[in-house]
Amino acid sequence: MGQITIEIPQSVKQDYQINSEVFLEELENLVRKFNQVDNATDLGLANDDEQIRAERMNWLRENREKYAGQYVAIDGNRLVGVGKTIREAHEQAKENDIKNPFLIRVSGENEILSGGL
Amino acid sequence: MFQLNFEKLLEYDTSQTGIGLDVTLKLSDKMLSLTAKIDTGADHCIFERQFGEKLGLKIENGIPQRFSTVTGTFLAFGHNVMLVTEGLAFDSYIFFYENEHQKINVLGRFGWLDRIVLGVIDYEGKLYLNRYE
Repeated sequence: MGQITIEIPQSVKQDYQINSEVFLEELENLVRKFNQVDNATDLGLANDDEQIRAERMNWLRENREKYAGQYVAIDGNRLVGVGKTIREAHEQAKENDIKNPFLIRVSGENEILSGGL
Repeated sequence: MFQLNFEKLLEYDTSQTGIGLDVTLKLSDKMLSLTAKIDTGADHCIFERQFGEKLGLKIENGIPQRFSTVTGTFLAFGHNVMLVTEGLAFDSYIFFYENEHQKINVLGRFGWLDRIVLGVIDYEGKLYLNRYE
């Protein structure tokens, strides 16, 4: 077997090292973000059910004027709590044995909210 | 004296404008990452239109809502998306701008701030974060 020796210039070695570090850092960030979502799934908060999401949004469309300015707690398409604060709506949901309701502050169609910045 | 306990400590760059946090948006099998600024003056979390589209949402199928700023008003559409900040996940009602040219992503009050405990020492660039239990 013949053998070929290639001398890699120092500048190429440095570039490779820098690029490797950047690549590894990006990979670590990506893994970290995937793990975040995995943790979210473990918490039972990852709602991947398209039907449930559609039910919630339909409920909101139909009821936004009725509950405008209040917080609501929804379980599927069922209202399980309502109040002027998130605490009130959440407490009501818990009294109804729903520990993780979908909590939203409802706004009326003609209400103009603050967009911040 | 008052005391709060936090699980997460983040350090941010105080030389930059605003306080930016890494955010992951997830919908079914699609997810994406972005940076959003904490904005306690924003009533909701609002993101660029392109991000909603990348998640597969038809933006105008969401619930329309008008927002105001010092320079005028804008329209955005609300959707139910999972919002993850620093490992804390929230099944939230968030908004996407109608206008594709609006590029400011904000973490606002309803849907994010109202379900966390937040501490900031801006002098040191430190941000403490916890889920409200």
